[in-house]
Amino acid sequence: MSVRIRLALHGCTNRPFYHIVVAPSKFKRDGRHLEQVGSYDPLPNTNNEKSVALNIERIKYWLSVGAQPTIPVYKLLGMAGLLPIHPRMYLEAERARNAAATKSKSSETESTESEPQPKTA
Amino acid sequence: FPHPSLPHAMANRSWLLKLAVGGLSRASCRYKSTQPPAKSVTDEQVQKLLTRMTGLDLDKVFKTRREPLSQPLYKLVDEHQLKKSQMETVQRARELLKMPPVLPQRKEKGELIQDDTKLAGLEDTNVVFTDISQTESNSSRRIVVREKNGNLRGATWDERDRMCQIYFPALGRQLTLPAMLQGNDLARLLKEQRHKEVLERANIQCEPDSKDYIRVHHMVYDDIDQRGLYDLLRSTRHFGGLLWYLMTRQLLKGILEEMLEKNQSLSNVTVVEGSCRDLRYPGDRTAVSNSSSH
Repeated sequence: MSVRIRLALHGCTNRPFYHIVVAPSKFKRDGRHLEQVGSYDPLPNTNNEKSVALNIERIKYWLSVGAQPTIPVYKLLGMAGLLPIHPRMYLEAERARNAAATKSKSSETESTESEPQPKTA
Repeated sequence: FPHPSLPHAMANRSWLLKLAVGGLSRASCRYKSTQPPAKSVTDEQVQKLLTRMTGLDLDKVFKTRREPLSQPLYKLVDEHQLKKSQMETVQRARELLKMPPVLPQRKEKGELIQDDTKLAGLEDTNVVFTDISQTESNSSRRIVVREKNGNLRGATWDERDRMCQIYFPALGRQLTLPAMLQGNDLARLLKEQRHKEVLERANIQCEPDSKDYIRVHHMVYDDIDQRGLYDLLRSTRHFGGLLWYLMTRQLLKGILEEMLEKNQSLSNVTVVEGSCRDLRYPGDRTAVSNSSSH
């Protein structure tokens, strides 16, 4: 059992909202925790941005005494510039770019195929 | 009553009006300068002048307004206590009439921190990270944005204000700029002579060095100057800002005319005129003689 920095799911149905929380792995995901050190809203707001609050002071303290961030939290801290970028993030980004490229290619070929063609009997 | 140095025969008020206005317009023609004023708004002499010109009308400062119902309080006091409470009232009024800060527009933020295009495509929106440490103040709080293309940059002022308002809300402030401070609604409010309300709302909503604060304040001041509605802001905490704006732009013609028409003491008029010149040209002999006589 070790102390983790992890996401605790709050919000309601179809509306997730995460608290970034320091807790031993034994505690329930949304239950008792040692301290809340931030929040993460996965749904973009009216300005099309996702907002993350991080209590940098306290996160630094907990990291210094050996708290382990979980992968999602590590990714958030990496994106914020506090920790190095997780290698999986580069991988996921490349996969997302490739997927987007193939999708746009296939939609292009679809649009060229949709031109009027003679009916086969 | 007329300035002691003026000859008795020339004490006619309309003549004095022409003299003051003519002198000013001649001065502005001669001294068209774009350099910043010689004194800053926080200068002791400038503050003294602005406070003096603002005036202190207790009936206006403590105007009757709607408040939650409460039992009226009656006190039986002797003359000494009455005088003391009157002085305390004047002191409270002076506190309420303190000028809000006049600052230049803040420089744009949003500098690039890290160029990381390999992360492009990971997120389809920007992600804004706000440091919610309790020991930081809003002005120094670290707020960064990881963009869709993978770049990490500092947040712009717009983003900063919004995030600070989300996590550390200031009383009375909205997330978006209220409609009454922009466009047609602002024009309508100015038409209805509700300049004070607009300025109060701007003071609550915006930071003193933000673009919107300065825009709204300048629009209000220009409107007041064009329509001669200086009395709307007299004995409010906004009058100092108005006067400073007019003084630094050499737009005193309207306000001095109004002061003379309202039979304001001529010493007040000469003080304003002299201080205006003093601001621009501290070495000017006439300015020095004017300021030294007061």
